[in-house]
Amino acid sequence: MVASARLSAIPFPIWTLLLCGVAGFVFCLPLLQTALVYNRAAVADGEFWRLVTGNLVHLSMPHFLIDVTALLVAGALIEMHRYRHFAMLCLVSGALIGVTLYFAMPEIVVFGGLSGVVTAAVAYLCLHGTRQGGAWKWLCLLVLACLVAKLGVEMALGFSLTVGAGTQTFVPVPVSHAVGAVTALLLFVLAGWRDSRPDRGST
Amino acid sequence: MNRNPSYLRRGGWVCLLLVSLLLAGCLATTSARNATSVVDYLYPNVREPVVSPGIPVLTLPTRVAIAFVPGETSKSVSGRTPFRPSQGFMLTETKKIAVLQEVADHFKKVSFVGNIEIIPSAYLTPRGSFANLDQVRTMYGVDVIVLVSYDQTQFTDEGMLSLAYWTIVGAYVVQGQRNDTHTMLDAVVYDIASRKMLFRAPGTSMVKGSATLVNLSEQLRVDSEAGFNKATAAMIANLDTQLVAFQEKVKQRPEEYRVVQTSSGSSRGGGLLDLVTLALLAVLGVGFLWLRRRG
Repeated sequence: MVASARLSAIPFPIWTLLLCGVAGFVFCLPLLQTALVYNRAAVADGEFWRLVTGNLVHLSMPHFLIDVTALLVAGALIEMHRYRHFAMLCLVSGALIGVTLYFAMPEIVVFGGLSGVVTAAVAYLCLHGTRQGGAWKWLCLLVLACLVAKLGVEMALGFSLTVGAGTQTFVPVPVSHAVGAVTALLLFVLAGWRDSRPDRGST
Repeated sequence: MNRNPSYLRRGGWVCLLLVSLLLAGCLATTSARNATSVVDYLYPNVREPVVSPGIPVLTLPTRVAIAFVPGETSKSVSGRTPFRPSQGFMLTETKKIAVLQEVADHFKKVSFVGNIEIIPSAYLTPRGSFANLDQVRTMYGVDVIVLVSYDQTQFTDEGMLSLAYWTIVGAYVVQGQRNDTHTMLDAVVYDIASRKMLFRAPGTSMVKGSATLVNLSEQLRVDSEAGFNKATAAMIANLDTQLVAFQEKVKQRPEEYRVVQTSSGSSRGGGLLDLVTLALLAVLGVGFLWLRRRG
C-alpha cells in the first residue's frame, strides 16, 4: 500500500518520454532527418528551424543510443523531482546550441545530437539539487563541480573523451556541452529570480 | 492375343516424345539478371535527360559521399528447367557496405579528398533523382557523390551429366550444373550542386563454376560474391586511372571546372556525450535510487 502510494506520487516524466520518442521517430526516418538536421547552408537559406531541430537528429546508432539513454535518465530525474521549466530548458538550450554553432563555428557544416541538451539537463538537475537538503544536495554539488571541471578541460583542450572515439564518422563538438550548461545556469537563475519576486510571492 | 498394332505404335511415339521432352528439359539453360541503373535513378520518367549541368565548383579538400544506386533492382529469369529455379544473388546490405568501405578506403588516400561518408541504402529513394541527392548533401554536408550501380547475370547450363539427376543419388554427387556469372560494377562521380558528372569507372568480372543440383543455389551465391569481389577490385583499379585523368582534365580546362581551396576538410559535427558526463549521470541515478530506498 505504502509502496503503491509512493509510486503514484511520482510524476510521470512526460516531456522526457516525448522528447526521446521524437528523437527515436526522427532516427527511424532518414528522409525526416534530412529535413531537420542542422545544415549551415540550409540555415543561411532561411531554414531556421534546423537550429533547434538539429539536436533531434543523430548520426549513427551508438550516437542515438548514448544520447537518448542519458536524456531518459536526466530528464526523468528532473521531472520526478518536479523541477519546473524542463521543456523550456530543452527548447532554449537546443536553440542556443544551434545559434552558437552558426555564428561561432563556421567550419561545422552539419551537426546533430542531443548531448548539449543532456548536459543542460544534468546541470539543471544539479543546480536545483543544491537547493534541497540532505545527501542529495551534497551529491548534486559534487556532480556539478565535476561537470564544471570537465567542461573547463574540454573547452581548454578542445577534446572529449567520447565512447567509441575514432570510430564515429563525425567530430565531437564540446562547445554544445558548454552552451547547454550555460543555458541551464541562466534558466535556473532567471527562474529563481522570477519566483523570488515579492509580487509573485503574494499571489 | 489379337492386339491393336496402331495402339502400340501410338504408345511408342508418346514414350519417345516424353523422353525427348525430358532430355530437352535436362539440357536447358537458365539465366537470372539483377541490375540497377544510375540513369533510372537520376532521370526517372523522362526519355531524355533534361537536367542541364552547370560549372562545378570543386572545394578542396572535397567532401565525398559514396552509395549504391537504390532499389528497384531489375530482375529477370529466363529459360526452363524441370528442376528448381536458381537463386544466387548475393548483394546484401552488409555486402554493399563492405564494397563501399573498400572503395572509400581507397578514396581516402587521394590528396584532394577531405572526408568520405558511406551512405546507407535507407537514405536514398528509388528514382529519387537530384532532389534526393540534395537531401544527402544536406544531411551529410558533402559536395560530391560516388554512385555505384551493378549488373550481374548468372547463366546456368544443365549438361549431359544432369541426366544422372533422375537416379536421385546423381543430384547429390554429379556436378551437372555449369554456371557463368558476369558482373559489372560502375562508379559514377557526380558534383551534386552543378549536376555534372565528373567521371566514371567501371569494373567487370566473369566467374565460372559448377555444382551438383542440390548445392546449386549455394554455389551460385558463392559465384555471385566472387563476381562482386573481382568486379570491385577491377573498378578500384579503374578509379585510379580515371582519377589521374580527371585531375589532368581539371588542370587543362579551367573554364569547365572551378577549384576553390579551403583550410578545413572536416565539417560534420556531432553532439556526443563523453564518458565523464555519462559516469556523473550514473552516479546521480544510483544516488537518487539509494536515497529514495532509504526514505
